[in-house]
Amino acid sequence: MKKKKNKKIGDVIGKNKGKSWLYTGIVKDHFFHPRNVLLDETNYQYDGKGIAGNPLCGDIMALWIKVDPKTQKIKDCKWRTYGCASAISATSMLSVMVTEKGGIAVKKALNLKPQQIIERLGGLPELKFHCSVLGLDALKEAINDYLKNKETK
Amino acid sequence: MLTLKFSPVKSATLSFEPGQFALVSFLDNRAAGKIRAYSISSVPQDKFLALTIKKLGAFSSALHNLKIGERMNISFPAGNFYPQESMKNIVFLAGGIGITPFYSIIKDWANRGLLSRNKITLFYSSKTKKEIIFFKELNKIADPSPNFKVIYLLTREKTKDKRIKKFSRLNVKTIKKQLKILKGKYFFICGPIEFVNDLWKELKKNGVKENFIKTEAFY
Repeated sequence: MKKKKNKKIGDVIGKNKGKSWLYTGIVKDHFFHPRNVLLDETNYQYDGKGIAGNPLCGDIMALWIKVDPKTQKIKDCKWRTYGCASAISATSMLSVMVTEKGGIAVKKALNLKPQQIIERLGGLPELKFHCSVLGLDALKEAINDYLKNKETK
Repeated sequence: MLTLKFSPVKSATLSFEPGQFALVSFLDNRAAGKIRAYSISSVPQDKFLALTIKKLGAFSSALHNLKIGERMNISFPAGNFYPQESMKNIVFLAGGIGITPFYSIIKDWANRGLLSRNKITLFYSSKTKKEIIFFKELNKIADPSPNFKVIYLLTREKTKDKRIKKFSRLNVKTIKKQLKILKGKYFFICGPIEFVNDLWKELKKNGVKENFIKTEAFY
């Protein structure tokens, strides 16, 4: 009987597609060197806070933003997660995307899509798509929190 | 395919925007306490909340086995996957079960008379004719409304049904042929991850700006 040979030893193959699960260099970089992580928020002055995820499934994400009151642009974005490698990389990239080049406006940030993050990461296995949504959900919560706080001020 | 209709218990309300989803969980330990998000397929005018569910995994199978009269936990509606009334020219791209939020929006807009002012074109791709959900209901809305058009696509079979003319995957070429111009139109994409990712990429390649695209992927 012939045995099937695995072409790439050490790689993970997606069970549905047989496609390679190798992560891109950008994903690995953001996983090993996550940007804008906040381990202790006690002294961090934020304008909006969002929590997303499902403690039952195991993944949870907290994200904080600071917003420039004049321009309505996000000037700082910090996060912390109990999540997988993809969630870490994707949220790290997200925190870069919302603050780079002087930050993006909160209204515009509400329309950010997982596809944009995945594109910047150079791709993500399809079965890991939902991991890129976690940070976005927390960001949207944080923005809604900021907008609510602004109204009541 | 199954549509579950829920009535609120006691004083709970059914306020939501068509296009939004709700988080669903069982009261007991079925599905191991997991929570899943499902688009709402009813409209705010209905006295019930409907979720249309395709049997895919353990959770949806458990939903398919629900008995009439059983109770579930259903969260507040969430998500911002819906058009604004100020968007005059809207394009919906639906892949399979991705039709559910669009159906709710279209039915709601038809009920509220908005289809006389706003134009909606729906591209709806399914594998087979049998898998087209809301086929009759959509045609019922489309037939009297010149501003609402449905383009059905089948990817796995051909039929002689006059309403279905396209037998291929949905791509920008088909969309362009129908719409002529992409600029100034608002695109909403909903379906499986690959469907959403591919169309998002193609639309961007064809010059559609990011703030004219909204996406919701089912996974």
